[in-house]
Formats: sequence, structure tokens, C-alpha cells
Amino acid sequence: MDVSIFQAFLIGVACWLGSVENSQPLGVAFSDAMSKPIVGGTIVGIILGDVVTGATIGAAVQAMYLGQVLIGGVATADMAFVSYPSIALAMLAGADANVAVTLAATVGVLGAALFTGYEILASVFYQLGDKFIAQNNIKGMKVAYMVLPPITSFVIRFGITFAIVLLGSNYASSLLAAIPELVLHIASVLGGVLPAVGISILVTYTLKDYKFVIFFLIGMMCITFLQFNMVATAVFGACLAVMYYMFTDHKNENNLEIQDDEEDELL
Amino acid sequence: MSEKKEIINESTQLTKKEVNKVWWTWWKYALTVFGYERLQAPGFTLSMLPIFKKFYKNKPEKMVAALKRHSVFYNTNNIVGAVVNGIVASMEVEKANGAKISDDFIQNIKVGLMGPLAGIGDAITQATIPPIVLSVAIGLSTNGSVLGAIFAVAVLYGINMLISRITFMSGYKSGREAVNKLLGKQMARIQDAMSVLGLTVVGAITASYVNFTITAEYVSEYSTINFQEVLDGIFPKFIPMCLVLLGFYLLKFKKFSAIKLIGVYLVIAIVLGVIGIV
Repeated sequence: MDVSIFQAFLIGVACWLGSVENSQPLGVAFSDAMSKPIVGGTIVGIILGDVVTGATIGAAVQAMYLGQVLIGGVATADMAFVSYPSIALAMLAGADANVAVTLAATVGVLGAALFTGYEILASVFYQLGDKFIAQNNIKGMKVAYMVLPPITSFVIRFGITFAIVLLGSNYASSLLAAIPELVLHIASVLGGVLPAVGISILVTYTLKDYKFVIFFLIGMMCITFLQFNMVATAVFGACLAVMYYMFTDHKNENNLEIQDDEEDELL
Repeated sequence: MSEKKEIINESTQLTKKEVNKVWWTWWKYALTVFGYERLQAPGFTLSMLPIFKKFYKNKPEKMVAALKRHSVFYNTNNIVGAVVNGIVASMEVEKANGAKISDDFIQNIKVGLMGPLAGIGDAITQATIPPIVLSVAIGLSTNGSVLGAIFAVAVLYGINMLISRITFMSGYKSGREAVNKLLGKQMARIQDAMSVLGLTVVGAITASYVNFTITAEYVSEYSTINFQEVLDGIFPKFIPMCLVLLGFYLLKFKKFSAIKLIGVYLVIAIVLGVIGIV
């Protein structure tokens, strides 16, 4: 399948719209929804003039990333690069859904490494913001916080996607074959382990009293032994939380008045 | 008392438009910049800006102090976390009106709430809702229809907006009243209860999404022992649990950064992958 410069341009822009660090035009939740492979596949399919193949590949890749979550701000696979350039490459190479899924997994991990780099470099914008705030320069602060990051995001997302789609169409299949088996294997192992990073961060947030680790175990056992799904586990957890709240109630009643006094002092 | 309240109402409350702007700015720019250094601090600062502009327009010193106050590290779930923006917004308004609310107090509210809300928020808006919506979307798209994509975007965006809007408004309306109630032991109890829910779901996420399979087998003349099967027979997902607890240990007690932790896992994956254990 051939690709025109205009088509590559459109896919590049779509990739930018589907990256969570970019808040344009409708906010984080919109970019997040756009970053889903099922959406990306359909859009890439429309741009390349074969929406049926695009949506089918998108659905297949989505199935793999059904549980892909951005936990604690740590991305384990970069969904924007999965959903746009990798699906476009798969379509251009005439690959079937299975090959597309492998390609997406590889691109996802590489993209996550790149995004980690961006998250480190983003410190520049914080420093710039600090500088403008110290000068009471509101406009400057807005530029540092609201204008420069989306532009940087555009340069990275659009640039890489545009180049890959335009140049890669001829080499996509041979490129895929050239990656050693071991690298793909390690990438997939890492893909399985990386969610632990975001989860660890969440645990440091929520685990104040170490006895509470039992609830973590309960959550695991809901899935592994009881075969609950995520919704059932969440409801079960909510019930436990309410029970905890109810059973710790009686201790405080006597202290309520004292507490009120303390509050007044604090405020 | 009622007289005092009237004066406050007349002169200094935010207009509906301004309240909406505070919410919309957070909704739109929560993850702007998106660096590890301070994560959502700019988003939070920007969302408070309409308030500061209204009250501190001609008081540059107060303006700078207010902006600096919110420029410190902040990270929570951007959807459910809107409740914090609501509470802090209403407190900032009171503070601007002369109420004695210390900077530390506001900071403590933010830090105290962001963790539990991140746990619950990510559990709900990342791990629970999207898989359900996307499963339906996959069903709609398997024969190549565009319906799946339209459904996914519309429903995910709509649900998130609804949750964000409701939590923000409830936070803004209760404001200091909520804080009064939440202070002290009451707050500790609510936070503990939230931790119960958060940890339960985080445990479930671990069991569902962290994957680590030992492929090495012990082969002898008489039998083959598959280590993974043995482990699964004792406690399924034992290694993922250990990986998470290792991560927790390194982050909490060894003060590792997230990037360093990713490096640790990378080394584990490479070493075990090369010698053929996984």
C-alpha cells in the first residue's frame, strides 16, 4: 500500500491528538480516549482509505491492551505510538492482525522509553514557570505551562510518526523481521513487569499502616482464587471500606467536642 | 452571624462562570507539562488562577505567594482528584476574603488527599471503567465498523467528565465545611477507609495486569517439573506480588525514583531473559 505525504501528515497530527501529555483541544480525557488502539486503528483506516482493515486491526490490538493503565503517572507502553504509527505501518506492510499485535507491542515499549525521557526533560518547563512566577509574569507562566508543552509534544509525536509512516512503508516488514527474537522476548517480559512500577507508587501512597497489606492480599485473592472481575472486586473493596468506617466509629464519639476546639485553633 | 454571611455572599464569592473556569482548567490542563519532577503542579496552579486573578489582581506580592504555594509537587488521579480542586478553591476564596487559613493547612489538605484519591481514582477511572467500555467497543468493531471507535470516545469522555464535574462541585460546595468534618480523627478514619478500597483494587490490578511467567523446567529421566505450575498451585501470581513489594520497598525505604525502579525491572527482565528462566 502506498502512502502520500498528506496521509502521513494526517496520521502524524492524529498521533499528537492521541497523546496524554497533550491537552489540546478538549482536555486530558479526550486525548486519553483518542489514544486507544481501537480509536487509532479506525482513524488510521479512514486516512489510508481502508476503514474495515483499520478497525479490525485496531480491535485486535485493543484486546491486547485492554488492561493498559496509566497508573501513578507511569506509562508502561506508549499508547499514542501503539495506536497510530504502528497500526499504520502494519497496514502499509499488508500485515495481518497477529503481526500487527507483535509490532504494536514492540513499538509500545520503545515508545514508553522515549516518553520516560520526555518526562525527565519536562523539568525545563517547571524551571521556566518558576522564573515567570517569581516575576509575577502571568502570561509567561501560561506560555511555559500551557503553550510550550503541547508544542514540544507536537514536535515529538508528529515528527516521529510522520517520518516512520513516510519512510517505513517500504521497509516495515523487513524492519520487523530484523529485530532479534531475544530482544522481542525481553521486551514482552518487560511489558509484563512494568505495570508493577505504577502499582508500587500507588502502594506507597496508600499503605500507611503496614497491617493494611492484608487488603492488598485480599484484592489479589479476589482475582486469583475467587475469580472475581475488576468491577466485582471494586464493589467488594468498597464494602470493606464502609465496614472499616463503621467499625471504627465508636472510638471517636467522646472526642468530638475536643476535636472541634482543636479545629478552631487550627483555623 | 447572618449579617456577616451576607456580606461575604455579596462581595466576594466566585461567579458561576469563574467556578466553571476553575473546573474546566483542571479538566483540560491537569496533565500539562507531565514531568516526573512535579507532575500535576502546573495543572493545579492554572486551575486556581481564575481565583487569584479575581482577588490579587492589584496585589502582586500576594499573587506571587499564591502561585508559588501551588507550584510544589502534586500528583493524584486527574478525574476523581477534581474534588481537591473544589475544596481548595473554596478555601482559597475564604482565604482571600480574610479568613485565617494558613498556607501549610492548604498544603496539608492537598497532600493528605492526593494519595488516597490516586489509589481510588486510578482504580475506578483507569482499571475498571475503560476495560468494560473497550470490551463493548471491540465487540462493535470486530467486523470493521467505525461504531466501536465512536462509542469508545463518546462514552469514555462522557463518563470521565461526569465524574470529574460531580466530584469537583461537591468539593467546592462543601469546601471548608467538609474540611472541618474531615479534620483530625475523622479524616484519618476516612483516609484509612479509602486506603482499604484503594489497596484492595491495587491488589486486584497486580493480579490482573502484572505478568511474569517462569518458562524454565526441570527435566529428569522420570519427570518434568514446571516451576510455574508448581508456584501457581501454591499461590497464583506470587512473583508479581513480590515484584510490587520489592518496588514498594525500594521507593519507600531506599528512596528510589520511578525511573530507577524501571531500570531495576529492566535489569531483571534482561538477566532472566538471557539465561532463559523466563
